[in-house]
Amino acid sequence: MSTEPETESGQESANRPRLATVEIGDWPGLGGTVGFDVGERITVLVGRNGAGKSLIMEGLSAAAQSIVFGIDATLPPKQFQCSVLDANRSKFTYEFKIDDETEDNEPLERNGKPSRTSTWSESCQINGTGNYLWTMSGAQLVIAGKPPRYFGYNEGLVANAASRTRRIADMPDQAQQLADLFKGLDSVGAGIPRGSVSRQSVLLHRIKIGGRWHWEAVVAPENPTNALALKILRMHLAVGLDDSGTFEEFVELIRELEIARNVNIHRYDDQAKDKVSYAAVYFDDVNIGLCSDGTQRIAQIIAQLLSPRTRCLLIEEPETAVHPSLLARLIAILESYSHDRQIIIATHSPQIVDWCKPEDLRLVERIKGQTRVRKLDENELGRVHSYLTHDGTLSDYVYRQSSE
Amino acid sequence: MKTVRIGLITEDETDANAVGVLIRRITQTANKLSPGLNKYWGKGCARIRKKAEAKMLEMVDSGCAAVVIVHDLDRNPQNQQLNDPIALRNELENIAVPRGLQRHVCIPVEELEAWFWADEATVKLATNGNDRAHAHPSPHLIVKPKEQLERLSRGTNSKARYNTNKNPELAEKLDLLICEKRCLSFRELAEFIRGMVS
Repeated sequence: MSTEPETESGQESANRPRLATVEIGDWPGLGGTVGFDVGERITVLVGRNGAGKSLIMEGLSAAAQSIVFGIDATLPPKQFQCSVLDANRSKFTYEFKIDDETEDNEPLERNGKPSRTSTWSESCQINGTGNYLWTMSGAQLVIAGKPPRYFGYNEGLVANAASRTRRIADMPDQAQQLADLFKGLDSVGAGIPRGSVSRQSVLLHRIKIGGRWHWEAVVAPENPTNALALKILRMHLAVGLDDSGTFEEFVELIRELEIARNVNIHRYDDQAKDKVSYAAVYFDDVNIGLCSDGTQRIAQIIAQLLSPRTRCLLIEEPETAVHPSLLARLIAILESYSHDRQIIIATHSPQIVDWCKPEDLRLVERIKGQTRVRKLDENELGRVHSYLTHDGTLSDYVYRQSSE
Repeated sequence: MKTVRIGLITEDETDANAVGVLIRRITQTANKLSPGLNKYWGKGCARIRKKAEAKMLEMVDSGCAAVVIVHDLDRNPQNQQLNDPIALRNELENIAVPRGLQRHVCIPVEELEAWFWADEATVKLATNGNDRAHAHPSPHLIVKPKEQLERLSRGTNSKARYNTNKNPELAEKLDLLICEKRCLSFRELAEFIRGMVS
């Protein structure tokens, strides 16, 4: 008799490619190259203030943006490397590098410095074979077994794979896998969504931009609370989603967490053709903009977690503004959704540290001006196991260690 | 027929809530009365051991006649083997119990969620009706029972996945008789509670 129930359901999504290691180089503030193993489901970064946890999260996010959208999308780390475990459990390694080159023929800029351009290089190889799947350097792309071709300076093959319109025909599978993985690397930043903005209702409107209708906040669309309201509305309208049930799932989780009994979308449509429509999101008849910081924070995390696109979710300090009992419930939800999306959390919360498995813990330390990340080695795991049995909790162990 | 106040010490809040539901149901089945419950949860065996003595004194003061200490039989992360159940029981039974308080140590194999695997209807409820999810005749043999429920509850039917917040709801639906039949740790708990209230 089998001791394991059948688990085929949804296995295809569980077997999606996932990050195994990441390495960020030349990212201001880290003081050098920083790399670490990414847990199969959960990774928890802990360390003192200033150790570099946020920098790592921001570096990962910026690297993903530039991999998918090219050099101009953001200001990425100058070097990035990751290994990816694919659906067949084989590993491949991808890396990019950005070179700033002085152009001697360019006139001097006003500040007297020469103007610069940046060049994108990237490569991908199957681990253990030494065989490159593709390399790109100096605007020349070489795919294994194919003749070199010109490819532009400011983006790589993965960005091309991520593009719906410019894709080349003979794309290696791994480029598409990386495109999907990094398009799905999302983050929920630290702090409360409304930040220092005073509490005010959020109103969304549907307007025509460039001949197409879009929803956006009436004021300050970049404000995270407004962005959250827009995200929930888009879930409700199933905009960009294959599965229109995501909103129902969101509402069910919000109820389960007991932060609201209902989430309603109020729409105010002008019947006249081509007129502006308005909408607002309500949690139990309270406009989301007027909800508490904790409610907004939880809604923000859940909304991002449920995004079907998300493959790897970075969450900074989920404990902010959240009651310990609610945090425990949120943690249970994160755990259940981590089967097919990796979750990387940076935290100061003993509660989160106590929840995570010792092997998922990454200690972020600042040593002689350089950030380092390490996991507990075998000997230390043995000591932790004994400590948990006889002496205290994982957070006792971690914070006791770091305060010595 | 008598009512009783019972203390409950578990590893976390969801365990306390789920076991609380089960104790209430067992009591109600035995004598139609709801027990009073004093719950305390503390992460990990060491934390429970250190705090349990003081908590049990508080429980006696608030009128508890019995205390149930629930602790999972975890796996050793280094070799993935289940820990020694006798050693864990000894650890927990070595906690001094105040006079006037009867104690029961309940050790579900690996996770409390194994109990839910005893009952087909509960498994279906947890896994959003997944056709592939079926009750197991020997739930203690299931490796990572909580994770298995999580995996099988994934789907595209607009339902949120199983997570431990749902344990009290599942405990309300669990077929107590079949769970007693299939799970030794639950049977011992039920017998202890019935002994207290009947």
